[in-house]
Amino acid sequence: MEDFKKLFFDEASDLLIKLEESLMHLEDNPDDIELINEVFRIMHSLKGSGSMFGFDNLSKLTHDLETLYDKIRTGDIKLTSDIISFTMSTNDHISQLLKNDSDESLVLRTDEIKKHINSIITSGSTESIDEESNNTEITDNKSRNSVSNSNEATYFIRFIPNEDILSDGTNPIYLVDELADLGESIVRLNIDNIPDFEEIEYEKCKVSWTIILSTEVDKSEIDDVFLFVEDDSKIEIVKISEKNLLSNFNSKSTFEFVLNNKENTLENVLSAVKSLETMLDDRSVIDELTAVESRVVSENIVDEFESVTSVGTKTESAGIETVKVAANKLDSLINLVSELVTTQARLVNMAAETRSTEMVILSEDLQHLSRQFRDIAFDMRLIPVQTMVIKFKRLVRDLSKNLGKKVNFTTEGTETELDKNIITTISDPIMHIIRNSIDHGIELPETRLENNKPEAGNIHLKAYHSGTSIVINIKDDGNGIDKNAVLKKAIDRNLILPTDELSDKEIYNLLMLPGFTTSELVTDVSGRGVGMDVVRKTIEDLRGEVMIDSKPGQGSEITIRLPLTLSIIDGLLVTINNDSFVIPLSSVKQIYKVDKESVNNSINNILNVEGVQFPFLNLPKLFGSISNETDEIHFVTVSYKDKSIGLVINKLISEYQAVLKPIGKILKNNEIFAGATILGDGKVALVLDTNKLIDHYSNQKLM
Amino acid sequence: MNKKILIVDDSYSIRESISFFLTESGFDVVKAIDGEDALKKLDGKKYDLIITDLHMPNMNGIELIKQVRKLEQYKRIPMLLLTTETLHEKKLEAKNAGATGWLNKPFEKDSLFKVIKKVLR
Repeated sequence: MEDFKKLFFDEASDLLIKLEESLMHLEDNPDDIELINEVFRIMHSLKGSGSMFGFDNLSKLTHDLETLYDKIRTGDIKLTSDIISFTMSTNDHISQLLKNDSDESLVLRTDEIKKHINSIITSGSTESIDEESNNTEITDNKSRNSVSNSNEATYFIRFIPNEDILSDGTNPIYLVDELADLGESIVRLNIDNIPDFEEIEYEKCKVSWTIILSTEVDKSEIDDVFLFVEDDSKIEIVKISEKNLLSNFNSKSTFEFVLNNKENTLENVLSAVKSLETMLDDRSVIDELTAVESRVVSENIVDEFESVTSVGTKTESAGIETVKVAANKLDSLINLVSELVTTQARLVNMAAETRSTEMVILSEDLQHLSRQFRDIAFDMRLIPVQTMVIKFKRLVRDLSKNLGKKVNFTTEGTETELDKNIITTISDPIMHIIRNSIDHGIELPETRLENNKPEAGNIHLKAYHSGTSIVINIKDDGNGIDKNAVLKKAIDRNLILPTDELSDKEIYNLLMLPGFTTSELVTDVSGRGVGMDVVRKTIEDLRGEVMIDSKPGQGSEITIRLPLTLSIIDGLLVTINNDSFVIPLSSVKQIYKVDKESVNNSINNILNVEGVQFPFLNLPKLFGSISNETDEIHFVTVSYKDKSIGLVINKLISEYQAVLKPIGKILKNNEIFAGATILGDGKVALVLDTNKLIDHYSNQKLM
Repeated sequence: MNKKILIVDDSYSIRESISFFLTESGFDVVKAIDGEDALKKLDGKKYDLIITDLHMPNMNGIELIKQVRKLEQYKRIPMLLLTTETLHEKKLEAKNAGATGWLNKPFEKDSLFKVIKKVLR
């Protein structure tokens, strides 16, 4: 704002020079209406801009002068040489106010000048200027009022826009949206007045709205929504209750019923309100009791569900009943559901073979039911990311205090849900990442100030859905990662060769190689070398992925991509040498048809597909092809770290939702498979873990 | 694509400060110094909102609004009038000329955005 003050200062100085010029010309031509207008406009500009930038006295004074010159230009007051020379003297005063608007002696003088102006105005014309100054006060009161009241109430609002409301650029829907933003609402659009299609005049607004709104804001704020349209449109705002009547499901549906009725009059709404209010009174005692009870239960249901969650959802928790279930019971339920889904898939196959319509219908019904069953069962295991955020908040507070740093921790999308097992496992790695951010990333307050950054650093955690995965992104605005230090250390430790050419991202991701730590100084917080490599391993064990990115001096960003749940994957069913395999869809980028010749003739396992060069793994060959005679091959590109890698496979079968089963002991050490799944025909297909598969074979120097 | 707003005000400081706030919030801003300049800047291009001052040399805000509404292309464009007038009649005059709404000077950043929200999404 200070910058703008400076702008205003320059501008006002220019205006004052212009003002002086105009006044001098006016002395010679006191009837020149253009010059009078000019003076009026300058006063107006000074007043408007002055008030914007905190020059209150200047603005008040110029306001009075503006009124004076307005009266002069309309002919109410005659411009005399006295008035001109008086204006010139105020001119000097204004330039002093410009230097110091709140100087006491200047303020006193301002009042005197104002008095003088007013006397000119009153003696020159009969009208007083009181009217306008009163008006300013009214608006002041209005804004003060709107802050004071915080009681909830419910309103009935009917908004019948003027037919021509669209003609001045008003969009009534925005106003309805604005209303809805004020609290909880039920909105009903009335379209009964829309004429037949042939008679529609598309420029006319023929619809109206009836709204029930429960809000904490003052009625004046509701009025303000219609500020621009209140003169032309029909607006009815009636307080129907001093309570929030939309807080529970029952009353909501009652209102919906009443509003959807053709006779959605205020009377009908009011009678509904009456019966609801008596009901609410009866319920309130019961609600209080259940609220306490359900809070206790919800605290227990998951150990991380600390009180913050129940405080956050206090109002809603009154209606939700929670039951505590042992986690292992939930696990066996999931297992059984998985079995059911598999068995049912076989049934569908069988039914199709019998060609009996009844059988097919029956199996499809069962399929429908078991899918719903599965969805609900999986949903039961999902808990919001919020549950672990509390831990992080504490960590940030304690740690930043210890280290003498200032850190703001903000979150976004913490209502995103993840499998409970994933949340439990992922929480420690994220703690580690945040610890790193505070310890190595965020600078000390003094350093930050020196670097023109706000004193307090920011760490932002954001969770969101992306396709079939959940992404958790942790971003700080600290000093970033020192690329050269990472490179140097990686070379020192023989993790890479000095001749290796790496992209920035690849360099940052070196941090996650086993036995890596960059901080020069090992503090007791982080940097013991059991850092990011453990983080990466934990996340990859969950079939997830972690990426580091950083901008020097601006901060680092760590992105974790996790599957929604551990026990089911959306996959692509393919065959390699006549065996079935599943590639997780989450990593599949694109599928190409290529001819066998080009794969066989490729050099260094790089294939050019549609103008893009892909390194690839020839899976039929790697998996020990017996008959390399299959004609059909496909090329599936999957994402691997930041790149796309091609996988050569034989046949594409279909998309397949695989229920993941652990593989037996014999294959336990074989990392390249995430598990196995049973196909509809009872055969077993192995599920590829593409990241580990590529890791495995690229270490063998096949790429 | 960013929403594009035309700001018309003869005061440099107001023009710049509004433009700063809007640009900061991701709007594209074009500035004009008075009504005539505003009409030149419109020039058949696509705008999402016009914010104009009332008192300006050459062509004032009300006159500008009237002129813009005459142009078929801008018949429905939201237009806000910046004014220090608190009298209701003045606002009706603006409304009748075709303004979508108004904003009283002085205003804070918050009320600027509150009013913009009423007419632009």
